[in-house]
Amino acid sequence: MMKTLLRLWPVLLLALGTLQAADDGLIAAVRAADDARVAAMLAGDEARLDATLSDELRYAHSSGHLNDKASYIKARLAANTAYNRVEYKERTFQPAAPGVVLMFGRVLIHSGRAEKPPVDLNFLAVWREEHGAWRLLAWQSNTHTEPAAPAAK
Amino acid sequence: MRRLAALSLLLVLPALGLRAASVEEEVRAADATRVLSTLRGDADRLAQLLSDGLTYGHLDGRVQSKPALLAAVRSKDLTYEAYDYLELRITPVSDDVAIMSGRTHLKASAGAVHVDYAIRFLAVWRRESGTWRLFAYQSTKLPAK
Repeated sequence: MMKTLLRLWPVLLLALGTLQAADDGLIAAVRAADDARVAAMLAGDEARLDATLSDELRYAHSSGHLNDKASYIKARLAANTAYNRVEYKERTFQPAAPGVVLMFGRVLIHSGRAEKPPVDLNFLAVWREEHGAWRLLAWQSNTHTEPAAPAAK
Repeated sequence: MRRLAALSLLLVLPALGLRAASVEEEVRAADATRVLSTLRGDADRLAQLLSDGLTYGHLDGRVQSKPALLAAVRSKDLTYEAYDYLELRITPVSDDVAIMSGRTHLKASAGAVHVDYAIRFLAVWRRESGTWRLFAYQSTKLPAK
């Protein structure tokens, strides 16, 4: 039994390494898709932004306001809600199943106006691979506050 | 042979007025058990419905893992009096993943803090070894009407 395990050990290591590499590649692809989404948003590039979003997008803001894809793009391209810079404080990717990756963390969104401090958000997002491209399917954010005491959801 | 048996079942079930539960129905049932376990403070039952990889984002910015969330429920640091859905939408994303979103009216206590308001949430459920488990959650407080 022990001999068999020892013989199989290199094969197991190789399999684990292959799985890790596959996950790394997956995460790199979703990270690139999110970078493209942010860049398109900052540039006000409707076509590129459209390409990074699922047609079934449900985008829930920290205010509780809910956008579908069309209303989200319209809002993002409106000059009065334009973003100047998006600064991730933390961005973690977690594969959930083949073709589905979660993204969560904390992000600062700068408006570029001195009188307006950046919006500080915790977020959970779902990315789905659709026809070979990673697209944002769902987003939920919440205003980040430094926790002082345990609190309910 | 196995394929033939499955096919026969698919043909026979509708004739008997029966059908396999849809992903939506399965997730809805799992969530109903989760909510009930949470309201009862039944951490052992709740544990069966949470993925070991759970990421649970609270309103105050804390992100808890499964052990931390269960510890809060078990110690009664986190207790729920009401968890009433105002809107609930379950959407299959793949064979084994579904997203659940909507609004809930929540009455809960966390330590000395008591909350009584509506929230909007996004949850991700994943089928693990045949059981639907909560994999990720994030909510935000809705403005009072």
